[in-house]
Amino acid sequence: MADHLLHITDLHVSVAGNEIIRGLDLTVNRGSVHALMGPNGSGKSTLSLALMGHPKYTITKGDIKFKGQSIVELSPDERARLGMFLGFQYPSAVPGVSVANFLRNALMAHHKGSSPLTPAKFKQLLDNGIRKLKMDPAVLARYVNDGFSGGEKKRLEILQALVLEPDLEILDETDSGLDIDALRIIAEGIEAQRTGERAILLITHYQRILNYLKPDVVHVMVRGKIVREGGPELAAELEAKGYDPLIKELVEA
Amino acid sequence: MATNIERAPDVDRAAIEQLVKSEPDWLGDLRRAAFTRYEELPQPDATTPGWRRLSLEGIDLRAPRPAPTVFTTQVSAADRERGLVVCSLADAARSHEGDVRQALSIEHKGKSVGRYAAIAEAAWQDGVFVYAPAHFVAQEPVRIELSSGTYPRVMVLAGEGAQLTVAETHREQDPVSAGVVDLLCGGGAVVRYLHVQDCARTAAAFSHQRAMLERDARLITLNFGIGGRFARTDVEVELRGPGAESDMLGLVFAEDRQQFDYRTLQGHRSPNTRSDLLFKAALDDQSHASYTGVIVIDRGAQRSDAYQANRNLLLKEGARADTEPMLEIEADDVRCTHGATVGPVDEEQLFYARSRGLEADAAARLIVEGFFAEVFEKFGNPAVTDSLRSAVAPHLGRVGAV
Ligand SMILES: Nc1ncnc2c1ncn2[C@@H]1O[C@H](COP(=O)(O)OP(=O)(O)O)[C@@H](O)[C@H]1O
Ligand SMILES: [Mg+2]
Repeated sequence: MADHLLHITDLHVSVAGNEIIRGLDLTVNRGSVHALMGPNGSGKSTLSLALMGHPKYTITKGDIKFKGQSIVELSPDERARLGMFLGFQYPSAVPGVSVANFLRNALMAHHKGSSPLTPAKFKQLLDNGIRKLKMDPAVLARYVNDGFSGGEKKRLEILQALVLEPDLEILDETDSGLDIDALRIIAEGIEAQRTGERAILLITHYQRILNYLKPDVVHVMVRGKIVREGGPELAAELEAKGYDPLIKELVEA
Repeated sequence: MATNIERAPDVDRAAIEQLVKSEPDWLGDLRRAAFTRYEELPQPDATTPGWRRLSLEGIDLRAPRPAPTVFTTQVSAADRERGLVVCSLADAARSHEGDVRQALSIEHKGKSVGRYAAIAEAAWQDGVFVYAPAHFVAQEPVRIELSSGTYPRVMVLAGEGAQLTVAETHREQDPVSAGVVDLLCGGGAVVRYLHVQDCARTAAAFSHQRAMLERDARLITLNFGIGGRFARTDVEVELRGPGAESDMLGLVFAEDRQQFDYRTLQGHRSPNTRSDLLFKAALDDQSHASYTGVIVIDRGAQRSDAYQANRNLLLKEGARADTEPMLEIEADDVRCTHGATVGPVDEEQLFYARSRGLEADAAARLIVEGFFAEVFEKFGNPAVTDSLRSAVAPHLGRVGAV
């Protein structure tokens, strides 16, 4: 169907010579929140990095379509400018580059050729995001992720999404390592971005954040494949029983 | 015999005697002693210890006959009125004879008092004298620009509790220049010293900078290297008084076949002293940076902290960098760390920036800009470093992802 925002078919991804994603199918529709869950090491981050085009993660088979177009040959920046966004599980520090400068460069790259980004518009965008995420405005002058706490890094990832307004947000464990207040603020920040046009693929290990952000679809990934799909009740089931019964079931099959 | 007719003849003792004629005896004696040291030290070549990592082929390093130092200075009139002295060093040898004589007579413990420092001490023909009296707080930076000359000499004397910033820019076109800078920081003085080496791309530029810090003095130095075919810079900081502190910063942007050889000394001679060194080089094309950093902590310099970091960013496959820390620590109650990195722009940083929409080259440029910005900001005086950012900008235009 041409209406799928993201359509992954039979994807195989290798990293450092090991096949980590082994025949994965996943479809994400506009306007919906998808949760991708799975035990540690199942390949969730590998999938997210491969989607964004990390050079170390090689697609050996299958296809990824975004907005109806195959993107496997596109560079990471082309993917970003097409409307994809990855909130990293482990964002890089960029010493010497302030958050404001980084975001200005990112925005200018996104809006190349279109209406110029005025300083006033830029400031308004940043102020808005900072307020929504209850961040200290001083963060704008700090170097990107340099010396940030885990929670500060996660907020900065969401701030970038707020400013860049992508069509697809892949958020890799944006909820982990947060205290309950921070989790709520971040969940609200993500919720605020829910529109009919945008889709969110929330990669998470725990069901905790799903108490604030109701997913439309839950996918469960084990050993590089989607093994179960369902509604929000699937997340609750996993929370209650853990991943073990599911893994056992798979091994026996 | 194949000789380059453009080239000035080598310096000799007669040239020194020429300088001595019109000067006080004590200065003549110092010059002659320095010339003797110069003669005793061998002309470095590819086999000389400490020079082996460099490729000196095609670079003429012979010390020429002295040519006068041509410079301009920029000083706020208000600062002058309140007692700041900035004048020619030749004049100061008369007007401030005692101070100049004392400063020139200091015996330096430094490890690298070498051939070029010796000839610069023997053959300097004028230079700049900066004197801030005790407790003088400068409103504006003192700017010095040197446009020509073989042996420029700069002396900065900061009296007790004085505060000032000196920004010295070298744009000599001479094939070989060798300068000596003396920075004497009295008790509690706070001095910022910026040294910019932007000499001709054909030049060999030597700079020997020596600092002496008394009790609780603080010195922040930044060496910014962008010019020259070959540049050797020695920065020696002696933390002589207890509580003295020094931040030593270095930044190089090299391209083509430029070579930068940096040697530093963090000399802890008293207790509770602190030194923090950060030298960075971004290396394009076939350029080469070599860094040797010595930390000395004397037996009596307990509770001292010494940090040293050397970071090299290789922007092309042909670029190279080497780095060598040397520690001589005799005190036991001290903190000392050192670290060095050599490598291309970090792949994860690059991917992170690209994932936000920046094209590969733009992402690399932003990261290199950040690599520089960190050092400029540490120096803490944008009034004198902002123009350096613009100096780097056109070069960064060429930077791309490797
Ligand atoms: N850059 C990498 N180099 C080597 N192995 C990797 C790399 N990235 C992921 N892997 C491996 O891929 C597997 C899946 O890891 P990951 O995608 O991080 O799982 P998850 O995010 O689900 O916890 C692990 O065995 C991990 O060691
Ligand atoms: Mg992960």
